[in-house]
Amino acid sequence: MHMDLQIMATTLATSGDGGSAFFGIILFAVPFIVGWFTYTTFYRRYRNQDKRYLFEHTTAAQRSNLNRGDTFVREKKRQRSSTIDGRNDDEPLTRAAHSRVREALEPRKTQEERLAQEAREAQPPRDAQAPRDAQDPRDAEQPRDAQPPRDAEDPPHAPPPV
Amino acid sequence: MPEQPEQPEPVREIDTTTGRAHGHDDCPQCGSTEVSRKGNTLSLICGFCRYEWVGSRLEDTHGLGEGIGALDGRTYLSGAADITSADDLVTIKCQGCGSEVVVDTARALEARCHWCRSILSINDKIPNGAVPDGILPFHITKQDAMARIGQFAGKRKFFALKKFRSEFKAENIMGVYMPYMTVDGNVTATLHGAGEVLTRKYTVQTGKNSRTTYYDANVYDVARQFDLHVDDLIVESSAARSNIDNRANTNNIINSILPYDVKNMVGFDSNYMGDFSAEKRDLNIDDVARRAHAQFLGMARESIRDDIRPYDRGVSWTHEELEVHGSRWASVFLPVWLYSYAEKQGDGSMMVHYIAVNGRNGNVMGSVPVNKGRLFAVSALVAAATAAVAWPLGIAALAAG
Repeated sequence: MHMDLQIMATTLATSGDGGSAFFGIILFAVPFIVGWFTYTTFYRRYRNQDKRYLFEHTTAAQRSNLNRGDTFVREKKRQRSSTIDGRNDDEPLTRAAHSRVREALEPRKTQEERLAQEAREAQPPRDAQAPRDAQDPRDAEQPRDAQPPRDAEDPPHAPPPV
Repeated sequence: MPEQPEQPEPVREIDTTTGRAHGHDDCPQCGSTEVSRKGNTLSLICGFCRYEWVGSRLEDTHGLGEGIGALDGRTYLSGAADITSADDLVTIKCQGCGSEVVVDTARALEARCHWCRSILSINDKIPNGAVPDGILPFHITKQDAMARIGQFAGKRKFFALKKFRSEFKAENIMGVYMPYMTVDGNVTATLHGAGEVLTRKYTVQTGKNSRTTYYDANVYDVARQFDLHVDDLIVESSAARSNIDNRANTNNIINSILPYDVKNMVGFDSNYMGDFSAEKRDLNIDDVARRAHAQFLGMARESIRDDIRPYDRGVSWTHEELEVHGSRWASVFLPVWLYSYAEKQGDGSMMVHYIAVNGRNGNVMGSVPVNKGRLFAVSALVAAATAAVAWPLGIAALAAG
């Protein structure tokens, strides 16, 4: 039987040019892979470290009001991978690069009232309520004689006439 | 100036208090305190006059399964209110003889008066988190749980630690009520990313003996927004149990026997507990909300998978946002049959291995300490046997090359 296996290996190795060395290296690595696989399989079976509450499958959740947006962007050619780069739609527990959660701790109406009240309290006192005495006297209240006479000519920055 | 009518306060706490004083929780027919659960049913039975009555389901009495879409803000049942006291010991005056009996609420919610033998109970919520809103009584008997744990461990004997094998006794299992919270959520999820649809797949010759497969695809900007009504997500409310770290503990085992049929939980009555011990809740809603929200987001991502199937090369979500409009929280005791074994590790630390049985549906999961030396030796033997076959073939292949 051992002879048969040797013949099989020789046949496989000689079936393609240059493939025999690669095939031989793989056969050398196989025992290590089998040993590692045996160890991890039994360890996992005994310790069950990967087991958890599958809440995303077992908890009742009703979806509604679905809005979709699907916009064509471009075409990609000659991709080596069979899946999109960064695929994570099949890993619901892996968080996206930008993830945010907001929670309303109180009912919306109460929240709106509270925010409005806080905004009112946060405003500084209005200038209009400052004492009028502190303001400089308005130019308009000055006597007309004190004002410079109006220049009838165009101001220097005025555009030239066309 | 006319007086404005006062707006009613929004309901945030659903009252599940009983208003009853601690002490006798007696039979409504004869007044005896010898009340126990009738078999595996939800009925309670008086041990003196055999009168039977049934506890009320919280779903029925407080409408917990309804109105999730109308949840606005955070609502909670009285048993899930924030813990405001660290006192575990509650002193009850026995109504039978007048003596004072201390109940350690960290472990039990009943005690027998040492003078007149009547049973004294914690009959209402207390501010240390020991009394939940609801309870799911055990359905799996001890004999059944022992058989399940024995079967589980029996299939994992060969590589188990020798000490574990010699000391394992299924009779040592304990029934315990673990504290959890159930949460309903009215949420809106917004997801954004890129998706690809395969348009062509072809293989080209790239060398004398090599070929490469290429894929052409259309790229789309994908956005989804939807509402999700989550009903009865279960989260741990014990700090010790919610710390799931596989390097330091085996809490994932207790986590993995979830879920429970929490729709059937009844309003808490200490008579359901019998001789079982209980673990006290020590986490508030604020402490577990972050985890619950992350789980809501995970559920949202899972729930949309059926809608993005046309993207056969998959979707890469880059942005996700969850808005929790409203949530409703309740605390509950859930039944667990537990076998534990403490393993002293090489660095001197202790690792407690659990084998747990869901006290309602009998699901069993466990962690058995591994004899790593034996497992390594067997793995090496398997590897050597494989080498005995593979290496001559490899040498032959190299020689042929």
